[in-house]
Amino acid sequence: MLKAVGASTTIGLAGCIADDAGDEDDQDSIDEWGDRLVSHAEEADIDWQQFEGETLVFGMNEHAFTDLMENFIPHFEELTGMDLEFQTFPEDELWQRVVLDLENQSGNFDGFFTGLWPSADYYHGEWVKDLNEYLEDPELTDQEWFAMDDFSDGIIDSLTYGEEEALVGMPFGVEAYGAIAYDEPTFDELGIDPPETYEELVEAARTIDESDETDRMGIASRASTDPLSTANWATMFRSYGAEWIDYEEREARLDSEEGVESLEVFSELMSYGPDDIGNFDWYRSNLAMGEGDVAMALHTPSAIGVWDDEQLERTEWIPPLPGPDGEQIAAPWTWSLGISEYSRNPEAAWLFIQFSISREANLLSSIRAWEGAESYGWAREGYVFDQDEWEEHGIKDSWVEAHTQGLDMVPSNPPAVPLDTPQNMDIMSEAALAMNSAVTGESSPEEALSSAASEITEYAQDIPEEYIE
Amino acid sequence: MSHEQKAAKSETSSREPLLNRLDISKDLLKWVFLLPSVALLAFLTLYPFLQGIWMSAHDWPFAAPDHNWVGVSQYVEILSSDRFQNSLWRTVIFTGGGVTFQLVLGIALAVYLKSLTETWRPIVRTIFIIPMVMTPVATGLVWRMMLDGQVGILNVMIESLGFSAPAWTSSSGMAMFTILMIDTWQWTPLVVLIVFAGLLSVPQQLYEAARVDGAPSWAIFWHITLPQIKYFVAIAAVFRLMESFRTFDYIWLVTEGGPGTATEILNVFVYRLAFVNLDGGAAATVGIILLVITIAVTMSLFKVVDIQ
Repeated sequence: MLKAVGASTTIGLAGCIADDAGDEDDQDSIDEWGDRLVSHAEEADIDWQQFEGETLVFGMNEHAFTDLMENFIPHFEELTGMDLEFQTFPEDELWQRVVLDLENQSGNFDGFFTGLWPSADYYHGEWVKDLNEYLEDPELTDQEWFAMDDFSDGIIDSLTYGEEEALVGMPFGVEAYGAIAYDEPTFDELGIDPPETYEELVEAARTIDESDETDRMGIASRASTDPLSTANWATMFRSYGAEWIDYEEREARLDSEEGVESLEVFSELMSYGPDDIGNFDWYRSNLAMGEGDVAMALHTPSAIGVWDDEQLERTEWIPPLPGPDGEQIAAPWTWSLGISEYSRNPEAAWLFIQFSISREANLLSSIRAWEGAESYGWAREGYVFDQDEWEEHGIKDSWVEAHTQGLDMVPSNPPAVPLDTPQNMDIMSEAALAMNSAVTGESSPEEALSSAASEITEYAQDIPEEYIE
Repeated sequence: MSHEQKAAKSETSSREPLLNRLDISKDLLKWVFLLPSVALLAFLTLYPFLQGIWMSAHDWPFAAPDHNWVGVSQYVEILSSDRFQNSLWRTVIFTGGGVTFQLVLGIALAVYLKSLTETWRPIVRTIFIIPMVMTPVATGLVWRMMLDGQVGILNVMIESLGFSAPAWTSSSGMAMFTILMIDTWQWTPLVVLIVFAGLLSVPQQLYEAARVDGAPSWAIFWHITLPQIKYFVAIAAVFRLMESFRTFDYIWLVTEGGPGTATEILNVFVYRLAFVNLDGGAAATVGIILLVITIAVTMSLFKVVDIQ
């Protein structure tokens, strides 16, 4: 007993010492990168001190990007002479606070996380500044330094609205959903080949789930009632040839034969996962694969930001699979930073956006720059993947292929989900309820989609004319 | 009155407090003192209420610059919608079923508490009220972790006893049971405390007389204890009903109103309308309907129990 206590104490103390040593290494890396970000910023032909003394408040999501950038607030403050505060909340709470702030025109947040799917709402509600105004101002932006060409046209277009082509957010992270992560040792052990069709994916999930040779369940994906949880199914849905709405007729089309089939397959897939898959959101899905509970995840490659190194090493990736007719469409997501229409310091807020999404910053957020650092980025695909640091940090080729090929599968007309309309979140909210009902067995896929269709048609009929091409 | 007398009176008057010198009636004075508090309360309650009614009469999407008058048609549309009716039914199950069970359990636990000795009573009472002092958000987070299918302690414990763990939130019946379980765990102590206070107020002579007459325990409980504490039970029921209609935190954290809309009670529906659909008008409409239902149910309860 005494030996056990003594050994435990020794190990614990050693852990504390090691932890302290680790923290010192992290701080060295943070300082190094901080200096690097500041040096890079100083290359821009703008006066970073032009808003000295101002205070900025950014509404941030509990996210790898936030955790990373928090380390560099002091560097930004030293560079600009401004005070910067992050107010960080879980995603749905952030959304709630941002909506209230914008609706009340309070201007408590100068800038905030903006997501791709609700971006039409930001535009339609006249809630955010058109960032082109700042991009084109030579006092605020050195265009050559900021290098907008690094971003893919598709991503910038997806955040651009109206005849005036207003840019509602500057992306720092892009992701395509519906890729497949699989645990290679499990596949080798069970003699399973990487799936090339959805039928093979279902078979692989069933084999793993029913096998006694592994503790892992078959597969996990997002399946909760959150609208954003439809993203992986949305990739399957569109690849099966289904459509959410008919824009011209302003009617729901998701209950078509193709739509029902996609949901039947998705539901079957999820039956080979955790029992409470109906509660799986972004965090739970990441955890399930990251912690080794499941052997596969139907997810976005961007999920790796919070996985540990062991699971990263074991995992291989497959781009989104083709549907029955060979079609491959991927639903995208982008996190970006936007500026509130009611900010008292919009130009100053733009300086932080430039600092945090500069070439060096986006490279930093795309790699695991130090032990324990999280990663989420890759928005500057025209820059990041060519850098030595990207090569050095050893993200697998299969990941790069899944990520880049997935982004190539993102359509724009019509988009993978109706994100070009202010009704997108309403429509996908109904779709999420239908998906969740089918996955949890509350109703059949056909009944669920049929029920959602009547609600979605009502929303479709509210789409303003200017959003219908 | 002589000049000197008038001067003396004036000097005396100037030393009196201002309010004594002003010619104000007592009734008016009462309202003068109450006015600041009443004004503040009115602003904090009446203004949001009137604003809510105003919004409910408009098509009020948050993410749109214009808000158009629709009058009562939004009420008609919502009341006739399947989604609202489903939500209303879920509310009836959650609130009606939950509060009823909590009252029964609370009365039983209060009677048990009263039966304890003076040594044990404060200890057990303290244990009983611990769930009640946790904030609903903390409750939701803790229960969500405990019910987690992969890492939750509840399933680990159940499986260690040789049983297979249920999927707590994966079916409509089980999900509703789960949130009722959490609600009961957290709020039965409130019923216990209120009913216990009532039990302490029951005159002991009644019990003594009943025992002398040879009445069995169940008869004593039914004919003496319950009638004596009925107003306390009614108060507990009113508090619980009002609180239960407003439940949101742990439902959202544990089930998000799912699976599907299986646990989407009216308050959760309001949240979805406001912050998922960004439909302020519809959210305000359902909120007003919920308020009317809450008032109607509690006033009916008062009438049934004949509370003055």
